[in-house]
Amino acid sequence: MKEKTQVEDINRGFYDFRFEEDEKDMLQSGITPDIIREISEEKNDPQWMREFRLKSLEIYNSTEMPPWGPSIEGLDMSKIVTYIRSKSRMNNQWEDVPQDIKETFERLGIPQAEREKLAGVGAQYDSELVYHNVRREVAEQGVVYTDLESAMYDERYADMIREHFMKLVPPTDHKFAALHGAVWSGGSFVYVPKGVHVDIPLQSYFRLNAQGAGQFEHTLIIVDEGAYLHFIEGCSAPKYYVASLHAGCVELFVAKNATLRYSTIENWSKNMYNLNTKRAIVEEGGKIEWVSGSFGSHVSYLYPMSILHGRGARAEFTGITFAGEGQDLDTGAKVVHAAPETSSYMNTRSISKSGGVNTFRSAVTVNRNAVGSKSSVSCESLMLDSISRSDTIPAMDIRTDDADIGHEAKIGRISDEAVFYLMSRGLSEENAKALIVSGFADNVSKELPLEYAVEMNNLITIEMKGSIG
Amino acid sequence: MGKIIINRLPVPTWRSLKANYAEVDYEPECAMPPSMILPEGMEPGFGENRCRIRTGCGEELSRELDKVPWTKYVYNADKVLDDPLRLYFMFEEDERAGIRAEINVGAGAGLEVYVIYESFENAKGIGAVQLEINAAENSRVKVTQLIDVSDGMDFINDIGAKVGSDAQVEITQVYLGGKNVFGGIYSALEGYRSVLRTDIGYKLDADRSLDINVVADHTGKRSESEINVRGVLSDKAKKVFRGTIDFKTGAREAKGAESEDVLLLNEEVVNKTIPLILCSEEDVEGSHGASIGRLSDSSVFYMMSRGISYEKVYEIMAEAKLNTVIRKTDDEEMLHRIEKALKRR
Amino acid sequence: MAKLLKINGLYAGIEEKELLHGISLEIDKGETHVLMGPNGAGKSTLGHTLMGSPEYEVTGGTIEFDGEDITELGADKRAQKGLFLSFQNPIEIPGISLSAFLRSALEQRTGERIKLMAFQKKLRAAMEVLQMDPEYAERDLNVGFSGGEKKKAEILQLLMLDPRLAILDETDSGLDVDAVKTVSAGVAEYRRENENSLLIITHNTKILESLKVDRTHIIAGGRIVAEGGPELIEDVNKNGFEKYVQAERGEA
Repeated sequence: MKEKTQVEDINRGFYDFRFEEDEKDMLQSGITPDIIREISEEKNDPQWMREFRLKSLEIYNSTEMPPWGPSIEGLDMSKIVTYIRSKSRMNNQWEDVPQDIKETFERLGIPQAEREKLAGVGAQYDSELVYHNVRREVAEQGVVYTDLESAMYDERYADMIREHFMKLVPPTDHKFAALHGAVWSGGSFVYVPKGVHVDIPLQSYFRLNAQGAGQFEHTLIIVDEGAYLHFIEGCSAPKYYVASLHAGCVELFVAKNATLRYSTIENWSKNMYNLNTKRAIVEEGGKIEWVSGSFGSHVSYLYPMSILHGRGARAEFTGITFAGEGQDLDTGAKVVHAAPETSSYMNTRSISKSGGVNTFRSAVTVNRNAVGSKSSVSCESLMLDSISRSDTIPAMDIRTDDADIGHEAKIGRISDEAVFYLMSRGLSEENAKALIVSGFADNVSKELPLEYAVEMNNLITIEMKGSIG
Repeated sequence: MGKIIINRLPVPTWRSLKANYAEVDYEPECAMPPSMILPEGMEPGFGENRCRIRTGCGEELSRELDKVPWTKYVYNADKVLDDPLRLYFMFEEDERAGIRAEINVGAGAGLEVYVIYESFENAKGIGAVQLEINAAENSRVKVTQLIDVSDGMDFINDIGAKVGSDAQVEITQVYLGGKNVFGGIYSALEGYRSVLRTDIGYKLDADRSLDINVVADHTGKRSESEINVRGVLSDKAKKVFRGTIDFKTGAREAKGAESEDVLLLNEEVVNKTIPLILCSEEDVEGSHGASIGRLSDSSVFYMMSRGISYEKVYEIMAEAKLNTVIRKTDDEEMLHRIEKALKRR
Repeated sequence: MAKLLKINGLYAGIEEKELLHGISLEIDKGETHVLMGPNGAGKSTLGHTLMGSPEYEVTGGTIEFDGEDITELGADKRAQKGLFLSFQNPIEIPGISLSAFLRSALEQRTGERIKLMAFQKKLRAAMEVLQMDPEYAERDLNVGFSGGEKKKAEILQLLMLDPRLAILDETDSGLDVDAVKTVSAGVAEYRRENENSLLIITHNTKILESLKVDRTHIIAGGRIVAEGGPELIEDVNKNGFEKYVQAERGEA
């Protein structure tokens, strides 16, 4: 009789804390053009942005929901409050940040991380950047890391931003891109000048802390020719009783011969609808590396997309998705080979447990002019019981003969031989299975900086009779 | 005359890929009785024109065929028959034809079926044949099909199979003719240790298109499916392959494997591949692999190093791809017909 | 009279790295040469470059085969002129049987259709020398063959294609004692034709025990560091490659 391991659901307790919100701050729910104008005014948007928001709202209202993917019935758009004014404005000095916000971030460990390793932290609290600090070394290299809203006014960057903002993910892309275009708020702007190699990863935290609030931050990163940047996005949110929405947008521009590594641990709490859009465009000789761990949210739609636009451009995607009870995670990646000699590589894993639903969805498109291109996709799924689901829906659309496209997928359960082998070395069956699941996720954890890998392993907390991770 | 939707993907994906289903203009106007050579011990039969099981092409095709006033051909085998059943479908000029056939292989019985679809040289119509296969427990059914209709004709080759305990259904298909061809196979692997093996080979050139939808639906414990698709695309040919392995809850210890190998020979070809694995049962083994494009440099070098020119290497490899499917049969007549059809192209 | 093979100051490598730095070597008709060296010395690279592998780029020097410059020729043309390389890791080719492949290769060489009976007779005889089960002839080329079977299949192709210069790349590696004997028998059979030449690339010497070696070349770090008669093999057996590696480093 085989004992089934209790692979514990992700340890949520640590993140489930929040503070009382000042209700007066909340904007009225529902999205009308007046609300958009209100948001726009409060933010002091330049004229072009105000018009952009209104146009996006129009597009949102006239766009259909996609006919595929998990149901988002539980999300009542009119109840989602799109903007919450934060208690404080942007700050450079940690000391000046309001106490309760500080405490939230203290518990998430930001000051320590900042002290030890990071170049700078832009921390988002309820839709606005609260704390922002770019370390001198990075600033000296000419690297710009600031909040997007104020950068729109900075005459050094205003034009650059206007040229790039929502050009890669236009509001017409899909319904929630349009929503984002209308109500976006907060987010980071990063510019790395030519040839600059940023040694330390830049990172950003988000947090959602009010009933019914939505997060619509926009990340815009431009890595200029020959430069290198590693950007880490990690987020978490406490539990609510009202449906919550995250419709963020990430636009990454990788110039000629530049490299950008974009790492994410998504750990939204179990009532969140995570409808995120991430896209990168890579020019000649450039490279985008996605590292993605998806653990939280009630429903997720997440497919980082790479457009290989210049000759020899390259995209790599390494991901892991863990769907537990009550979760329906539809994740994957998309690559478009739009130039010769481009290459893409995808390695994804997924774990389904306790009724969780995992859908891996991918698309590899090779255009006629993408001669000499190569693509290799590998996805592996682990089923931990028979009440969960794991669906693999890859697609390949190849339009040239001079291409080398390979794809493989596997699904199964924890291997009995592997368990036996570990047990023969003295581990209990439970510990053996826990180790195997942890090891299964190592395609991602080995790509992450240490503290993230540790956080990730904690997320896969296994009941080890008193100890964690 | 309206378009019907066929070959629907069990779980849809991005619409922009335009691969969730195929559309075809089809309304049958006349029957297509096959010529047949029956094995000893089998009597030809007729049945009510209904298809009682799910097929690969789907409901809308079934509904069109439901409307026709002619009966369906029924072939029953209740023991292991030494001689095969041979069916020949000949499509004539410009007709819009449709017919159903049902093959029932009883418990412990065995039957080999060879089917050839061909047409008049100038035929420009559209034909559809919907084949229902019921394999009772412990039976063996082997169906080999050659699709060699004229280059101006469209054709729909639809199959639905129900596989009982310890029964095995093998389907081998060689697609060589036709302009726009659609193939569907839906197999309900309901029984304990029910098995489906499907090998599909094709060679498309000019502006031909082939749209295939294969679904292996596993509900039986220890059921097994193997789907292999091999082919060559040249000129402006277009091919869509949707292959689904669906492990339903309860299909413990089931195994499913899907593999596709496509050789692309010209820059104007279009190849879409959507290999799905759906799973709600923990204790299964599922896999799929796809290899699309030109030959690897190392394979080409190996063969050239034995004195074979670059062009000949591609010729040999194109042949080799199809061979892995063709050699699933050792029936002389079928092999001879396939060779003839290949020579013509 | 021209030597069968003349390599003149050959430089070759892959995109980022030069692997052969000016190799010069001559093999005459009817000779058996051995190329030895430690791992990574460039032995396989040389074998593959001689055969015209697209993996490596020749950046300097020339290769002459029977007086003709073949440096720019494609692999198939080199094979048709009488060059053969036995691969260390032969590729699997599903859908074409070993015998059908050989027939194709022979037809390409002679330009004529092969008479089936004569071919099959020759094939059976060759398979017997190699103690190969005749059913392998109808199996897909190398598909599911064990390492040893693949090596034997390579030697079978050697015997059937009957080249003028056969380059054996680590043919004995990974083989058990019996397999080495069988492969040696096959190679000896090939050498029975007096004009045939052999270049054996290896880093261990088991397969050489049954052959009469005319000349030995030692390669290290992409350069020929020593040349001599069969006595060099004994030296390497006793003392390894160290002094040669050091000599190369000294020269570099």
